[in-house]
Amino acid sequence: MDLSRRLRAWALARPRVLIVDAPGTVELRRAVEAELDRRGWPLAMSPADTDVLLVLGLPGPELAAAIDVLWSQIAQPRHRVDLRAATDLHHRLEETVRALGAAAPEEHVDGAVPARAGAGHPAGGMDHSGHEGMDHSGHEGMDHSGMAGMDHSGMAGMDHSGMAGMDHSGMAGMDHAAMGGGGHAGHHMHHGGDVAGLPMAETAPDRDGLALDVLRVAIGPVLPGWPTGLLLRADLQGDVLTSARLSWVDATDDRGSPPGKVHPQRAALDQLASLLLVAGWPTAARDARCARDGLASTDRSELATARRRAERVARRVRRSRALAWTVRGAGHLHSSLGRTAGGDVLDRVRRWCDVASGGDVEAPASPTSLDEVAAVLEGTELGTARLIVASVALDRSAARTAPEEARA
Amino acid sequence: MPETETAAAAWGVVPSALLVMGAALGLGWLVAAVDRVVLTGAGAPAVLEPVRSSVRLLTEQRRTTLAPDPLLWRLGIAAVPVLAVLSLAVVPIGGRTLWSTSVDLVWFNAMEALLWAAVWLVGWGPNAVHALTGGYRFLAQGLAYELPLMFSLIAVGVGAGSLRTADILSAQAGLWFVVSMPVAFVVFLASAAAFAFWGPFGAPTGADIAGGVTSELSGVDRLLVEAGRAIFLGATAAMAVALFLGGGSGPWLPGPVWQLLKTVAVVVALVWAGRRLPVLRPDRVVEVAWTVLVPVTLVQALVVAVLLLSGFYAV
Repeated sequence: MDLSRRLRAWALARPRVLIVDAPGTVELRRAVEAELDRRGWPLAMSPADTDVLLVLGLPGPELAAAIDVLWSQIAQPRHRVDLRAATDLHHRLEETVRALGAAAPEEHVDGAVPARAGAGHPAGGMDHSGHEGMDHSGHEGMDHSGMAGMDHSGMAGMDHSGMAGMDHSGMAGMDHAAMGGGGHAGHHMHHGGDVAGLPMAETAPDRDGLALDVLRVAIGPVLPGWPTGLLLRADLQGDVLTSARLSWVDATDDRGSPPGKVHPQRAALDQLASLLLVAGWPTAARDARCARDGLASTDRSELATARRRAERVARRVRRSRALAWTVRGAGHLHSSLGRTAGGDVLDRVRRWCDVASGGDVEAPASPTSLDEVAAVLEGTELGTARLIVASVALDRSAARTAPEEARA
Repeated sequence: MPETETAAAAWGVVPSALLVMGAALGLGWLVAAVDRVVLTGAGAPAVLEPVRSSVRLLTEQRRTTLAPDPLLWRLGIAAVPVLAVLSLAVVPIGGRTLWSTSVDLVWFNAMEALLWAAVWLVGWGPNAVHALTGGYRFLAQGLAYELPLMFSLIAVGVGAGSLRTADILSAQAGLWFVVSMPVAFVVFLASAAAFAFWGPFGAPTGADIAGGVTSELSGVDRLLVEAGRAIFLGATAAMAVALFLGGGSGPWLPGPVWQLLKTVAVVVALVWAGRRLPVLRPDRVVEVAWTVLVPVTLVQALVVAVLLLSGFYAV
């Protein structure tokens, strides 16, 4: 018994972490990522992959609802940590490992959790005490099945017909794909009706004029390498996006840009880190994060090391033929802001590299509105769309200048 | 040509099957450990991480999604490691393969071709967008690597005058095939990364689609798929040693030790090189595969055929 408990504790000593950063927690997120890298805790790709859900700062109501859905999709054993400040980070993470390892076996609900269950409306007012974090008693498994039965139309994302007239269509879409990977409504099967409350997918002409299944999807607001809170709604045919729209959840929340001066080199490295993650280059992403964290140091020699490291990673990314070959030509922005914001993904990557290596160049300007970005997502593959979004510095204030019609 | 006894005939079916299982786990661990070391830069302690992850996944709850296709989903999940181990059945371990047909190379390729179906089902089963997209990407990638892979295998078969692994090993007694078939060797290893959807060919499990085909997997399901990928990569490295690097041949040391050393070297080189690259987009890879790799591997096969006719190979 004792042996199995110790084995469990050992197995969970390097948990996979999903970070959800509320607006205005840039520095906190960087500190957390640095600590996770130091400990060798991998970043999770999806709720299925997650052991620890790390919520930074105070999420607004819509993001909080999305976090609840995420939480419902995470398999046991799991643990949620709400962090407000980096001060007791080390202590909190130690505590997390202890709590994960100590969870008694009966707390594992046997059998499967309906992962999409959380798609029920948070508006339904269900309050899970388990979401508070510390104790995960067995009730969650039950919650899920309950919720799954409760509200299938909440599966949204796909559920265009049902959702259209509903007040919180925004919410529903988000829920369903809180991790951006919403269920889709199955394949065209030559019969009507629906499956588990989900309507079947429709067909429509694709970009080559052939009839192809259309899935209504919502990507975001929480994804690895994705600006937390950003929500992409689109029709998906195969992996091609059409009628893409972008919006922020909690759009009225404008804590996006932290007051005080921004370190341009660190910001560029941060941008590169998430872009490289999306581009599937984890070793370069790690180097970028490492350089970014070193640049915050006050120690002279550490700072010099970090500068060298930043130059090295920037040079490596800039010169990578494979990256150039794979991202070239995607996401041409014709910005009114001129050359610094325009160009394709590759131009912007190289510009970020110039800034990251400490060069005296201007960082690519943020697009003036989300619509401008959404326009170039039209007709791109999902992977390309992710690269385009990762290549621009999206500012939450962009939503204010151009109110998103999806919020209406 | 000397007939080599199969492991099943020499040592009995059960012990040989256990040996292959052990080799599969060992190779899977090797790949995962090296990958982890390269990824985290953590050095030697990271070699235990795959074991830790496996225990963690074994204790983790399995999850499902709303309206999945449970049968096909679980079938695909189970098929990934099973196919990986089956492909290892024709890879010589200690100079013997578990069983031997007259078409070992075709068997190896067939296991990998069945993987198309398995990975597609893993992506299709959970009824989720990201997993489905991962499945599509794997099929696109399959279109890219399958033909070059087959042509590189054909070059080996032509050079040895046989599709039997044991014959291919004995045909390399004089000169390793990598010398006359460098292109086939490189294409074979790149295809290995592609059908294990790993490294630069990891688009089906890309971070941009939240892990793609693996995005809805937890617990033992995830363990099976991840283990299957690692075993496939390891098995292919071991196969590359047999097909191109002379298997267990080498001075001073006994054959199995040479084979092990070469396999470790191939795995380390493959992982190290693979992690230096970003993910290559399947649509662009398809283009290069068909316009560059197919002709190049065809020329490789032609060169081997001409060399064979000129008596270059001691067949």
